[in-house]
Amino acid sequence: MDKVIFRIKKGTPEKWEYKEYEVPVENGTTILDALYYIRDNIDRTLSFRASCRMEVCGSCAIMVNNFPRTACSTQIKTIGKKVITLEPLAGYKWIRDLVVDFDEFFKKHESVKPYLVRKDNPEGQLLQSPEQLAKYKQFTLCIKCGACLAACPVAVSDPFYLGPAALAAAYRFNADSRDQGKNLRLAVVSDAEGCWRCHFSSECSEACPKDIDPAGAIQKLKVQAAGYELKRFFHLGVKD
Amino acid sequence: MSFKDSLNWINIKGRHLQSGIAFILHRLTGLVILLYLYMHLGALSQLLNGGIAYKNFLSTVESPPFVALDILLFLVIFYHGANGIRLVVQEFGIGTRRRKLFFWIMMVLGLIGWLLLTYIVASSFIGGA
Repeated sequence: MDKVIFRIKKGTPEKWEYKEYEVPVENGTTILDALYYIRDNIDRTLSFRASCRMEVCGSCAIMVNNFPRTACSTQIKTIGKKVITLEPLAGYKWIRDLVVDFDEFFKKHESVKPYLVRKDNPEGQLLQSPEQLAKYKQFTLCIKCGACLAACPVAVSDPFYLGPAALAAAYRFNADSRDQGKNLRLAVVSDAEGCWRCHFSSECSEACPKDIDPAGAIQKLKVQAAGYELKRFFHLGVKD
Repeated sequence: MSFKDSLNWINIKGRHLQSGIAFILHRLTGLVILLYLYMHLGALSQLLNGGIAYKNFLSTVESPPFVALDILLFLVIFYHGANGIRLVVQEFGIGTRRRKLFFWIMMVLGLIGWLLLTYIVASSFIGGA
């Protein structure tokens, strides 16, 4: 069985250091397995977030060798390094060890109204064709792990930027044929700290563990937002 | 957020060439072009000192070291222009999944343009010398 050294940023913002832990690794061992091994066998004080262990809950995203990844779905041998550095997600308020505060992330997400908005109160099902579903389906796979925001060079240098996850969620509902709240969302995202802050570095799409394309969603949102702003400018009756 | 944090965009650790590094280079080359614009305006302002002073100034900036710097400046401009065209196209939501392909196509086109211009400048410089 191979051994891998984990360098983990341990402590609090006031006092921290990199601590090294040696972990036995075999084919299929994930970073999350290693974190549990360290906590159970070496250092019981190690703090990290995790829940489902199967890339569904989005709790365990951390920086692995400077790149945001979900710990549960990253197999150690695929990294191909004997020393792996683990740090808390970049761009978030650090609490301790590998734990960051997601409050701001979820506030931003909530601000774009990530739910179906209806003006009527329809009875029965809202039917949709496969083509209509295909327009937004990939964005429904988002697990809110926050890796996209940690990868974004703009988000890590501007705390007010809404970020890729929230903007992709806005596009997901705007592209949904059942939704009637497009202009409500565009009023939020068509802002200097909204979709116009994105400069298409596209690191968010590189980082997404679910292979979603948030960068693409934001660009499509820009096209929608440009139309929305033009209509507003020429007083063409933008209705919420 | 501290001033240091506001410079996090320039951190190349964990960035991909066609994504984060292309973004950093685009910003840095933009700053170089902006700096050059002011230098260019400063150079033109030499005209205020009269025609002879301006000709003397031109003879200095047409020397080999300055031409070499010009050729480096062309590289900066061609990178910024080629990547900028890619960004304009992709910010309409076109081919966002094909970032790598778009990036390399534009880099090859930019490189060809730069080599052609370098050849033209170098041949006119050698021919004129």
